[in-house]
Amino acid sequence: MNNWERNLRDKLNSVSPEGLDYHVAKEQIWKKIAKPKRKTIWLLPALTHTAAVIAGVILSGVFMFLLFKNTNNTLNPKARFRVSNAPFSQPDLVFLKKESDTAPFEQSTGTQHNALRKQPEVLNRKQIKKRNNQSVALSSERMEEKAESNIHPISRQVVSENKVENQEKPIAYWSDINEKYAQPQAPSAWVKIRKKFSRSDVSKTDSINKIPLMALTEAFR
Amino acid sequence: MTEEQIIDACRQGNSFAQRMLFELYCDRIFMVCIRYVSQQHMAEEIVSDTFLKCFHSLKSFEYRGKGSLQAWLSKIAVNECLMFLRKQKNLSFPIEEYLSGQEDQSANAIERISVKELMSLIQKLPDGYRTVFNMFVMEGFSHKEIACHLNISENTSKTQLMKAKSFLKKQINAYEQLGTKLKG
Repeated sequence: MNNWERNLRDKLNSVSPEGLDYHVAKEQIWKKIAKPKRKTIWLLPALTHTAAVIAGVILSGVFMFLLFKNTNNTLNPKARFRVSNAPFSQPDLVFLKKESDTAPFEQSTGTQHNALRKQPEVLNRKQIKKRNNQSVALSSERMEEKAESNIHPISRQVVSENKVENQEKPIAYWSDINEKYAQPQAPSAWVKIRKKFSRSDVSKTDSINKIPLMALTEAFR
Repeated sequence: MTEEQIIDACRQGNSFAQRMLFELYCDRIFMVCIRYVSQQHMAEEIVSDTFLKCFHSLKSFEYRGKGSLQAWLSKIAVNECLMFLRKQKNLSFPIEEYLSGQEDQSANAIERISVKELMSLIQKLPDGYRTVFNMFVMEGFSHKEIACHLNISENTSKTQLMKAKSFLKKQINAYEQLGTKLKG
């Protein structure tokens, strides 16, 4: 460091801010130092974070709403088409059996499945009237059936059980079957009558016309 | 209350001692900062940051006699100024030819010029020149240290210093010539 630099440094170090017309705001600086800074540091990130989370929730909600709305509009017709055009599908109108007659577990899975998959149909006024009439008729029938079942529920069951017991199960044996087919069968009534009235010089179709009507009726009586 | 007692009280979190320390060194730290950033409100901001850092890391400070605290504070202030300038992206060091062997014609001229005028001339220097000039002349850093701090080469530091000095000398001579003309 040469003299010029040394002189310059000494001259600048000897001066105070007031000598250069600077009035330092010491109170304000001290307030900045004394004030805790954490509040200003954490407030803004916290606010931005919460705002971002809220915006994300709103956006995802709107997206999900639109997605489900679209799927409801587009998927239902396909499902109806599948049910109606399936090769082994049952008719659209399915009547389930009475609960009193059969327990729920006895119902076939096919009917349950169809009942569950039935789609709501769009009906015009005539169809609605027709359906209402049908439903009234059905409900009256059901009521009658229910009344009957209430009067004789036990006797019906007993009868049906007795029927099952009385029925003898047929037993087939191979020997019987073989004998049956081995024996020559007796000539039928038709063969007998044809033999009786047949002539060698007459064809088969003409021979039927030659048989007297009385003989035919007696043979097949 | 001695300087050492003030430091001990500040370490224990005594706000009165902290205020005393601030009052003792505020002007000197402000003078360091105003040489680097040249605007008063910026310098005041850096002063507050410097004292905050000082109180935060005073436990690691080792007192080595009178003047050690001022040197330590000045070092913190210079670092804060450099950080501030880097954030502002004002620090640029144009690569120019190394100038050497210029005659020192204005050695006595410094004594004739006022401190206020000298300060205004220093503040007119470009940021790169002014930073290297302050670090080398006022804080006593070597070119190696300046190069390390500013992430530049030693030659660039030397060039910047020479340019700053030649600019100042020209300005001081011009000021002297203007003064003699006015007097005449």
